Amino acid sequence: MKKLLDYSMMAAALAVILIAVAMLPDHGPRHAKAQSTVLGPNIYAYTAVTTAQTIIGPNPTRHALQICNPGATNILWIAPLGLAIGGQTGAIVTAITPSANGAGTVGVPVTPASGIVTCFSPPTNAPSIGQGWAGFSTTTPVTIYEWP
Amino acid sequence: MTLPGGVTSGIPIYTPVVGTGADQAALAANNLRRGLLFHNPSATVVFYLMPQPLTGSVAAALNTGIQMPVGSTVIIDDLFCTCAWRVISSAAGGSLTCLEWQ
Repeated sequence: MKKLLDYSMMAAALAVILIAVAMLPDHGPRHAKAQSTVLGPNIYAYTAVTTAQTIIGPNPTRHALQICNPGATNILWIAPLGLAIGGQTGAIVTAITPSANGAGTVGVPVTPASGIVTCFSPPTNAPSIGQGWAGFSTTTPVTIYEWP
Repeated sequence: MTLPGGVTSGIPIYTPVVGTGADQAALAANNLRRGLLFHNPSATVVFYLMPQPLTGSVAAALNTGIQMPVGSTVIIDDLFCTCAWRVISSAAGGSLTCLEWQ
């Protein structure tokens, strides 16, 4: 009787081990799991921004931003929508109107004839990703990729 | 959120720098600085940046430090950049865009 009990205990233990092994994660290549939603950047496209205007507003939940100049001729000039001017002690919050070669602006160069589109991204390790930007150019198109 | 100096978090601090052709201060040291962007929007003037040591001062000089040709951008966001910065321009005129986030 005791032997029979031992056998059944061994069988139960073996079953537990088999179930545990079956539940172990697969050690083969990991594949991305299917996602319930289609994920990708928000895309904003302008054929031209011939007068200085807001090209993307602030978004505190933004994770990444690229402001691209796919044009071949004209530099895209951008500037943050809000600024504290005058260094660390500056308390004046205002904005700079982007203009060609203008102080306080950032120029996004044209894309080379055969090359990767030239894009600008703000510093990533700073609370700058959510910043809104204004843009200006004479004829160049603008494409913005925003990862929310 | 308002930070010391009345600066709102997420709003970059802009320090205007106009080239003089001589060594000059660009940015003061700022322990709160987390991201830094220099851009040279000038048409002809070249700038040279010189980060400053903890003690003392190193003058910016032509053809030394970090050269910023016309249209160039320098972004520092994953290395320490809280030090003071000095700059010199190849000629008088032109502007250097200095944006910092804290």
